[in-house]
Amino acid sequence: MALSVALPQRLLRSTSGILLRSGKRTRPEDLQGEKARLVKEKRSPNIPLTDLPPELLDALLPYLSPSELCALSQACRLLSVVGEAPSRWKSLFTERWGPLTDLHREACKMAKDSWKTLYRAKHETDKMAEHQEQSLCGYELEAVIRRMSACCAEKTVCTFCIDGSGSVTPNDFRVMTSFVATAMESLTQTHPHCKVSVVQFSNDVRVELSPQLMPMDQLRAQLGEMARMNGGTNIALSIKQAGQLLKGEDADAARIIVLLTDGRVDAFQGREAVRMAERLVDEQSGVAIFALGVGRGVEKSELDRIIAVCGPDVAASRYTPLCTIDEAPW
Amino acid sequence: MRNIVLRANDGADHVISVAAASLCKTVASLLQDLEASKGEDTDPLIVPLPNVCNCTLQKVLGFCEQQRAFDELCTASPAAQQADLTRQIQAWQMEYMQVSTDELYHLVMAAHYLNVPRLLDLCTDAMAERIRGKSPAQVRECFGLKPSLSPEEEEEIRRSNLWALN
Repeated sequence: MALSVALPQRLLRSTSGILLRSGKRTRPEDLQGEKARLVKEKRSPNIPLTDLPPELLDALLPYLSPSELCALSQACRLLSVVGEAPSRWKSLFTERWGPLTDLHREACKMAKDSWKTLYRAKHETDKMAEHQEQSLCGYELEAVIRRMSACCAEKTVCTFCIDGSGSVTPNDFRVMTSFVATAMESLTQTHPHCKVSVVQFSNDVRVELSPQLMPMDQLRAQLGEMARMNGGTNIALSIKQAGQLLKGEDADAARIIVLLTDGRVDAFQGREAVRMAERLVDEQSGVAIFALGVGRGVEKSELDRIIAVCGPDVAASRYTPLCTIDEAPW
Repeated sequence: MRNIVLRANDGADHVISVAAASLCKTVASLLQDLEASKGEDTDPLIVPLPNVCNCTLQKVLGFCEQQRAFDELCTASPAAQQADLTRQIQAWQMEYMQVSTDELYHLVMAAHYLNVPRLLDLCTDAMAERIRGKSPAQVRECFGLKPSLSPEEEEEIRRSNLWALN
């Protein structure tokens, strides 16, 4: 006895099938006729792509590149939605820029939760890179600044320590000063009482700007006029100087120190920098130290040791490579 | 061994081997359920497929039988011949995918419905291949889409996507 079974209901969604003349057995001539009909149709399909169920349209996406997704988006209204596919753009992002970091996720929030928008911003930043440097895109910068802003209090003093040593190129230097301007613009928007100070360091240290509330255009002008010192990288000295500048501020003010440097110091200098940072955190309250890597062959480990004095748990979120080239400086 | 009969929407029957049917996960799981409840017997299993046409079913089964044959060849062949075999399989698949867009549509639906992962992958890859390198107008033409965006909307999307083109 023949046994006939029904497929589960779920699978029986109607689809447009090609109807053949009813016959109980496959007849070759039917297939031949059918083939001929389909070949004739080759130029103008009857069934639009958009008739595919959503899960099959989605199954197409992993095969498509950014430019193909974009072309698809333009074809029709439904596909303009399909082409936005957040999960596909997220995996395209991961394919190109490696495993997702917390900063990527935070940057995606800044990009209104759109991986496509973030992909585009990273793509454009990478395209503009002149010396194969890895720079942060606008949304990532926003995310970094947001981390700093999270450390702000009603009263905040933000001290930027800019590395003016010989290993820093003029381009790196521009990147650093423009970051300071961007960060201040953003911080003063959320925290109007945020004071700014800037020190530049090399073998020596120079106070470029003592803590004050400053209009943005003046700050930009000041930063633009800064001349690079050239020389070694004495981070310890810059932290000591920052400490002296911050000492005079209100006891309850948040003190944010942002080191912008390649961190290329010898073992002795490295230990000195950590010692200085420890002393600063010991003597003053509300201190948060951030480090931003800039330039060739950034010594992340040295910088990590310095920021860890505020607690090992926060260290991971306080170092960011701002604009780096992954090779030795010589 | 039980016979499996797949019945297309026009009533045409196709007898297939258990080995080939196992590539269709839907049929394979039916078979499993049946064996679990009734034990081994030799009644033929008839699976009516009310939304797969005869022509498409024929094509799907062609894939299953051929893949099964390739699988056997792969396990039987020494390592040195694997690369050659892979080339052969790819050539066959390429030839197999020489179908009209409508045929491809039916094939992908059937592969989805019968749950043949390897055929589904092949079909989606072929569809993506047909999108590749095409302008939006060409995509519309190739897949029978009516322009549903106003020229202004299309221009806006084009502008917002310009970055991806270079």
